[in-house]
Amino acid sequence: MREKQLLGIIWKCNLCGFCPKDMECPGYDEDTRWESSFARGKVSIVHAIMQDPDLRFQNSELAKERLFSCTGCGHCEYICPSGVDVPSIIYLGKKKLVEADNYPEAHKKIVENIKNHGNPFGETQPRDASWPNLKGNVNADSIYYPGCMAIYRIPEIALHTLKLFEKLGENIKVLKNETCCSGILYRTGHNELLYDLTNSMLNEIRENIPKQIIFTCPGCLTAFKEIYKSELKEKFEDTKLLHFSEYLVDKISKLGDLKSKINELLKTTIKGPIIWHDPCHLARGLGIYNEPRAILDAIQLPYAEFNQTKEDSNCCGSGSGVRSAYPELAEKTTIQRLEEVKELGAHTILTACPFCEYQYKSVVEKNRYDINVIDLNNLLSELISLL
Amino acid sequence: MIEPSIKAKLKTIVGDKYLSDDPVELYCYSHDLVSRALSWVDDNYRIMADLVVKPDNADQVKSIIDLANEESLKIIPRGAGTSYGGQFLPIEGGVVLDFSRMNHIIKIDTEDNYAIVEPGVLYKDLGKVLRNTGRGYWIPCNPGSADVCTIGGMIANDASGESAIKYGTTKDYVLNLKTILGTGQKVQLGRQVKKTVAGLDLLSLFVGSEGTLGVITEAALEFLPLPESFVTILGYFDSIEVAVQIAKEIKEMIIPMSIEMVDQLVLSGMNSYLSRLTPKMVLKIAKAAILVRLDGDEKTTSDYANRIKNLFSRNQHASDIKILRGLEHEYIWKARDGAGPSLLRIRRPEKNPSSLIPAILDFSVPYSKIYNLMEQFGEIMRSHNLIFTRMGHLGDGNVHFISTVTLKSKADVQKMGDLQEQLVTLATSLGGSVSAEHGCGIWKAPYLGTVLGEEVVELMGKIKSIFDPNNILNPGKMYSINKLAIFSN
Repeated sequence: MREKQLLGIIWKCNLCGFCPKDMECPGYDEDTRWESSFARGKVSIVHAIMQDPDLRFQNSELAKERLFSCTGCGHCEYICPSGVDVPSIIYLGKKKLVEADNYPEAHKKIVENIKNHGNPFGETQPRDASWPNLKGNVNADSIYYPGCMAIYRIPEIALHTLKLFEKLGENIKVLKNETCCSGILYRTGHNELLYDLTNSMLNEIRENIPKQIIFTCPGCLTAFKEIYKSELKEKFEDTKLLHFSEYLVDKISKLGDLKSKINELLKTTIKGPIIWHDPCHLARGLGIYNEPRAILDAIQLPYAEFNQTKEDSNCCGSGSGVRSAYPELAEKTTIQRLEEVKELGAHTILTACPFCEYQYKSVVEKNRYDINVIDLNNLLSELISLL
Repeated sequence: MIEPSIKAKLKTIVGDKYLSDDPVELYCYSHDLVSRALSWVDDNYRIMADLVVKPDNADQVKSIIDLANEESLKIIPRGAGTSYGGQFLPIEGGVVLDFSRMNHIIKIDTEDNYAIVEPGVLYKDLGKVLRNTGRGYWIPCNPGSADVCTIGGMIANDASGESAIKYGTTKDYVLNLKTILGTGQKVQLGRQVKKTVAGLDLLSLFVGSEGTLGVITEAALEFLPLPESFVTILGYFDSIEVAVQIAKEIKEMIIPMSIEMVDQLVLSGMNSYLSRLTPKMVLKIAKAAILVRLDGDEKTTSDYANRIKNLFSRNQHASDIKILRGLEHEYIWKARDGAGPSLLRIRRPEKNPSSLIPAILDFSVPYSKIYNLMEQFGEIMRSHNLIFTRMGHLGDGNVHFISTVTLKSKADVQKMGDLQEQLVTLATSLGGSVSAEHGCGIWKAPYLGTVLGEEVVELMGKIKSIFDPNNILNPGKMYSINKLAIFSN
């Protein structure tokens, strides 16, 4: 989005203060309750940065901490009566701080890793060795885009997803020039790198336009669907961009009689009760929350809901580089969610976002919660293996 | 600029963690919508607090006020910062007193039906506790900012909203206040009783004084039994004039909890908000709509809901009349409460800032003059080619107008001031007030002389000097015409 447009959005915020000041805003500091720590304050900070001739705001440590501690979950936008696109305003502020070289060290590392290795983790191997050889599918007109987290950190997601594609008989391929979607660059204020770092991948797509690209990471889907559109003018007019749950929802019966194995699954692999977590980018950002539920209903999996769900759901605490720059803040938010899981009596969090899963899992492990976390595709794949 | 030694003393009082002099934090505490937009084109509106402190208890507040008197500091008490009049703006710099830490509910007494709270308690949080106490209770003053405002802010502004026609304003629920005056003296105003005529009513004087006489450290508020049921009657009308007439007919039949009118642009704003709350609920876009909210026992509310529905139905200008209950009832009032903020969507995104014209947000006139006010307001706004909306709590003659002015230069600021003057003249010529419920702050203070008479404003100033002789509390508001307030350079 152009700066001029974003300035217009700033003026839509009337500082009414209706934005969340509790667990609905991961960045809000419950202890000290400073104005700068919730959405209205953050909009004010960006405003101050935009009229900052002596650069005292642009070079401020507090401005850095406040803006870069926003996970971009968008809950404030959902709650705002004016529907102000607060995350975009905050991205603009981050961009200005990046221009002043005032941004977290952890993000410098992420940027370097994406520049040098095509992924934010700095992994040098292209992907996990257990990946099946998909070279035979070069003529497929469907692409699976697993995203860095599923390639390098939770390969089970990608492997189980490939198993589901196989069961459905979908002829798919992965991109030869696959690289990080770079959504994280946009969300951390490095918009100017987007073109260079995604161009060869996007050229590959442009040269042989696929029928559909299917994603398991809502963040990557958002990058393709929204960030490339606004920043690179790339609209993918002839290609469907789908989250796996959207792709699967009307094909679920083809996976077999999965509902007949639910009881067995709950007795063996998964400890119930299960609770469904709506990932922010998926549910609030892209409006995809009925599809995963339709899949769960189709297989007759009993599951509980959080107190706030769908577009109103709360963030897991990861996102927009907060996990890397401010791990304690991310963990605090995740713990709030895990406490809610405990209160609601659930033992397994089921979700459809590798970032949410990874964040939950690491906090569960660190804090010894008796809670499991599983991706929807893993669960489906496990059911298939019981057939 | 505050001396480091004074800053150190303040740190000792509240603790390191609860004092900020960071320019970023100070900026966040220093603007409302209007000043922020004006600051973009005019340096005179670049307001900045010197410090923000967060006291934890009354003793800390007293120490801060004592220090302020010794060192000539200005103190700006602040609740949630959700008022529209610039009440919380530190226009002369100074120390913002943020009450977010003083947020404890001290006592709920169901024997005598009162709650004792600290000023930073959110109205929403107190409401939740009261709803879940015993048979269920509430404090029904219900301002539009009910989800976010603090009790201290409500008392300081005598806040009210859609239910004022039946339930009055915040002052009707304040039994007593513990305060620290501008002199530093601790004073309790009022008794724990509903009725008292023992002496001058200083409690009422204090409520609505916008933090200019003293600082509230504790409040006792009366609460009422929660009604058994709520119901809303919604009707659309093909003219505002008819809507205003029919509201009068309702008032002759019953005093409902609310009678609200919204125009077509407000309906669009409500739809935009509703689309996020419940996509199934879409309001019709009509010239005007009336929402009547009834509360009470099931039978009575149902009977009156049907009578009001029949009243609407008999009117040839009415259409799509509905009775809303349950979730539909809740959603429509949530959308109505968010209508003010959602209306700011009427501004197209553009590089230049737009500002609300603050004085026109909140007028009240005698009921018989409501339609005149709306019509003449429309004529003035049309003559300036401005988009505008009209809405209000028709039941009590309180009308809210919203319009924004695009600011490209200092000259636009002046034009905005002239327009504001014109509209204030209109409201006062109809026997009205420039502030029905939003307070005076700085944006309406200059017009108090016109509305009340200069001699009355002078008397107010004399009262202020008794409570706050050194003028340390919330300076530049209500009693004085500040350069910011008159949009004049």
